[in-house]
Amino acid sequence: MTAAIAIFANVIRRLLQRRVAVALILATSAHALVILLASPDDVTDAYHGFTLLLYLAFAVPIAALVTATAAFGDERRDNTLPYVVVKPISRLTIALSVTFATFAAILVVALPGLVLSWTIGAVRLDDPGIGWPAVVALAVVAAGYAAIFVPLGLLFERATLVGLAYIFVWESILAFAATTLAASSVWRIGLTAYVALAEDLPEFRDILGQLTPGAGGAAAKAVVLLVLSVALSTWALRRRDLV
Amino acid sequence: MTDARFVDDARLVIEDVSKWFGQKVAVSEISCSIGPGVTGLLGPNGAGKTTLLRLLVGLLHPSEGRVLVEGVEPQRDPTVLGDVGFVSEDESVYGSLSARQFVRFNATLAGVADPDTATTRALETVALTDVADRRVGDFSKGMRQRAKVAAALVHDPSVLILDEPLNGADPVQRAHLIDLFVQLGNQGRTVLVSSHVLHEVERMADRVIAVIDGRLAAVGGVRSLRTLMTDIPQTIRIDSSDARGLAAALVASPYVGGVSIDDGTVHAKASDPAGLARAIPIVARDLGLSITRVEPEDESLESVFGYLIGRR
Repeated sequence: MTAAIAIFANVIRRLLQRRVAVALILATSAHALVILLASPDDVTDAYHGFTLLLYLAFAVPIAALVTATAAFGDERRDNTLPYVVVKPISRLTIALSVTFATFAAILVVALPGLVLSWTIGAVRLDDPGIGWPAVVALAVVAAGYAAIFVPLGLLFERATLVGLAYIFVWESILAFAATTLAASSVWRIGLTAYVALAEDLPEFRDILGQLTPGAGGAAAKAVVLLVLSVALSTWALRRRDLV
Repeated sequence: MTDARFVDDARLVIEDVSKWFGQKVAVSEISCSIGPGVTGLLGPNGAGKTTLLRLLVGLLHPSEGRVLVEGVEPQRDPTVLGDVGFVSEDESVYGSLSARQFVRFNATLAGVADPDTATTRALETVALTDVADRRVGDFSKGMRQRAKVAAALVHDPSVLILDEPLNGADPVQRAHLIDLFVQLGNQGRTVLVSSHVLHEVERMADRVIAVIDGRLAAVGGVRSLRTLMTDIPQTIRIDSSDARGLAAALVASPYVGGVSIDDGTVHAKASDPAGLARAIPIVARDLGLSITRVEPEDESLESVFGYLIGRR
């Protein structure tokens, strides 16, 4: 348990001490500025639209990609992985610690922007509860993207490129074109939670297609993704060359 | 007759191990074992030393064969790594941590009961106590190496696997680390140290495993390796006050296979280097010459091991 905590803390420290973490915090706060500048008649639409399409569909995935692929990827690139794996620690413990530390790091990077937009939306709309759907959706997508991108950093040298292909090809094009692929889109899984918790958002329900809105189902899918991710990372740590 | 590749009290066993990366064979059918004391893993750069050490600690999987640490395959059961300290060849460290934090992190992961005390002891061992709270990233290369050695020692392992641990260390630091490794070997620990510098290995190792092109070139005591090396034909450069006179005298010597003169320097191909070394001062005295320099042209490990490979 102590080793797991030490790995968790080390991953958090590494991921958040990088200069790019500041840039990611700024990038995930951009939608708040747009909401601040929206005309008074459009604040509700601007809040939900930019939270879903700029923040959750674009900024958070990019922040998650840059953060999560570095969790193992930077250790491999910097040759520091031996300090962790040449130790009497089970590979499952390492995979669990790194995955959950990455999930936490993504939340730390993405939360300031969410809190800022929530504050602006709450003040302009006089609705203090407007930010809750985004909090739940963020938790779901952060878990989903951590689950996908952490093993990529372990399996591929160019994990960021592979992750970009997932975001821009799979999620943005294929999942739109083929409704059967929609369930594999982390953003859409987050959207099901958001739409279920927010007030009437018919235009976004249309995007969901066959997916059923529901925060519980979205959370369950995120948990399944995390379990599969930890299993994949554990397998890679056991079976693949690590340098 | 016993096989020099194997020892009775083996802690590390390499059984018919090969490792290839795509088309490149890094290690080819190596079998040997390593027991308590200091063993030098010697070979030129690119010989496969690092690959072999990475196989031993489970960072790489053998393409064929298997490695055993204390009788266990580390890839299958990493708990055995609790008894292993490893220093990698790379300079890599967590640069933003202080030396104390870095060593303590390793102590915690190794499951040390009292990581603070163990960290202090390990830092004392490598003489880094005075700078323990400075960032490792700001250290010189030699200091970083010592921090890595402290991290490898912090859990008091009985097996130490050290990949070029003297890289970047200044002469004083080298001497200190060599003394430390000898001391650890004398304590009954199994210390496997890789190096491409023969004289460093000679100073600390009782036994040498020589590798070239991914294959075992020689295994045995340092003295036996030295004996092999003295038989190697060498070209000797000799600077003297009369190159032509010296060359004429040497060409008649039974220890020399051929002589050339280049820019006032005699290049003598020694068929018996030891005999030539004895003959040169005698020739110089007889001819009344002064000798200003005598040195082998190529005593690199590459040439030594090339010769050893050719003999196998």
